[in-house]
Amino acid sequence: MTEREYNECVNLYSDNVYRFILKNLRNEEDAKDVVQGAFEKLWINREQVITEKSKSFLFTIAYNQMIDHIRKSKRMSYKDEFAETALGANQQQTNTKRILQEALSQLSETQRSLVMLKDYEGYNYAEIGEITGLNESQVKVYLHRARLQLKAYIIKPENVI
Amino acid sequence: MNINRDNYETIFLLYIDNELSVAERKAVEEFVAQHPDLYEELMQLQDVVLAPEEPAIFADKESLLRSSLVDDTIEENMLMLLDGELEPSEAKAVNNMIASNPKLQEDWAVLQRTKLEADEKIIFAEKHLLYRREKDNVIAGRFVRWAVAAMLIGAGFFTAMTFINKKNTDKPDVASITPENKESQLATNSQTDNKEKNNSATTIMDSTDAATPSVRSTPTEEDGNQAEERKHQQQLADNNQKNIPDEKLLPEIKTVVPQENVLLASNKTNQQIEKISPEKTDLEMAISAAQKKPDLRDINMLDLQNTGIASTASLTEETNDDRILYLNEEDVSRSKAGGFFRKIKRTITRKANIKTGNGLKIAGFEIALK
Repeated sequence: MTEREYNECVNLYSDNVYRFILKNLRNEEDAKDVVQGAFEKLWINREQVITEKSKSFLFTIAYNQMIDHIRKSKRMSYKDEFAETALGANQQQTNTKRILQEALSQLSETQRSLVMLKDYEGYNYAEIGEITGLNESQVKVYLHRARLQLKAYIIKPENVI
Repeated sequence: MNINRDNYETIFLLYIDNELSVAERKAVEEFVAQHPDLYEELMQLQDVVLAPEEPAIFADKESLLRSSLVDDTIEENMLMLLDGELEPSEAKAVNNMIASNPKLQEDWAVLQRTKLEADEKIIFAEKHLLYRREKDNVIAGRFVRWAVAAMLIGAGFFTAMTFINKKNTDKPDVASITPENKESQLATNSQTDNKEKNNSATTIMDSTDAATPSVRSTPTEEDGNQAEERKHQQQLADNNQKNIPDEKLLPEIKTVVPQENVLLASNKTNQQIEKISPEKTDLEMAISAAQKKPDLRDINMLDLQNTGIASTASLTEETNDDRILYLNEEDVSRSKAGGFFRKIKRTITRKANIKTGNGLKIAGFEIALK
């Protein structure tokens, strides 16, 4: 990977990685640190990483760093103002999205990451498995369980509009 | 069943767990009747047996029920359809199944609500912290470019200099300059003028022009001071005798030439001839004036030829005061034309006994310095 290709990766994938980590950690500064760390690793290993695999490489590194960060901090505090600070001051979340985000927060780190990698980035089971270190069957099972949990949460009588 | 005091404890546990047959239970009861002290132990074991409580009722049995219309695999298929992991044919089959079942349609609608949508407004604003630049390669690239350019320029310069040097080897010899003799020469050669500087430095090379008068300046007067000089000249001429080619092969010499700059002086030859002949006395005076000074330089081409040098001034007498700038052409390769001119000059010098003065010599012209 050349310098030019690396900088092109910054333009293409930095937002995606940041969004993925931010939704998981729900802390902007921590998410920025993880993003910078992931791109730092990519730069160091640029000669071994081909351009076509750079996105999955970035998500793999970012995911691992996110897990390490969670284990170190051992906190999963949910900030009430998170949605507003993340989306912008003028953006108001719809009720459906808010409920969905609440349901998402009920999941484990692994389940939440799987759902985001599938819905945000469009990775298939195999690719998600490479990023998270799971095999394809595990990804399928965990992902389906997460879906059912989200479904069960949003159809609760108190969450139904 | 053989019951004794060694194995009764295990049998008592089986008794209270109702694991013994009727006959075995009867045997245990007879054993206890024979050993009244073991009856109390059996009763204590009987007390730890739990009694069943009121039956517990699971109220939501309906959620456990399965409809024959909903297959366990359909839910998985719907999830895979939601994830986009089904083949086109399989996706089509599941869609058909969903469309045909209202319950599945409700489930499908709920599942679709669980799918997240990427918020494009979340961006990483500090991308400038992520950009990298390989400075080393840039420097290396610039250095390589400059090095290549320098090499090309150096090669071109070297080629040009080689060509120029080669071209210069074909040129006639250049004159030597005597800068510090100027004042002394001006004082002693007060009677010499610009005509004199044309006398000894010009040459006519016109073998075809028989009408051109030949001018020879020969010393007609000899005194004690000139005798020594003549002797020296004669010596040099004798030394170079063998180097002088056959005179018959030489073109007709019209005038005297002390140096080889024949071609350079050819343009002025006709004018100079007219001035030469009536001013032989001036030339002689210049020669005599130069001879008076013991530290005069003598540019003698014959000497040069003896040493194999094309044009290098040789010092007949050395002084500490005078400085002569020699334009060495030691490494100049001789051309045929140069050799030819050298021969002519040698011949003329020998015959005419011409001696170069110590005026300023430039390109075959000797400029008398006053």
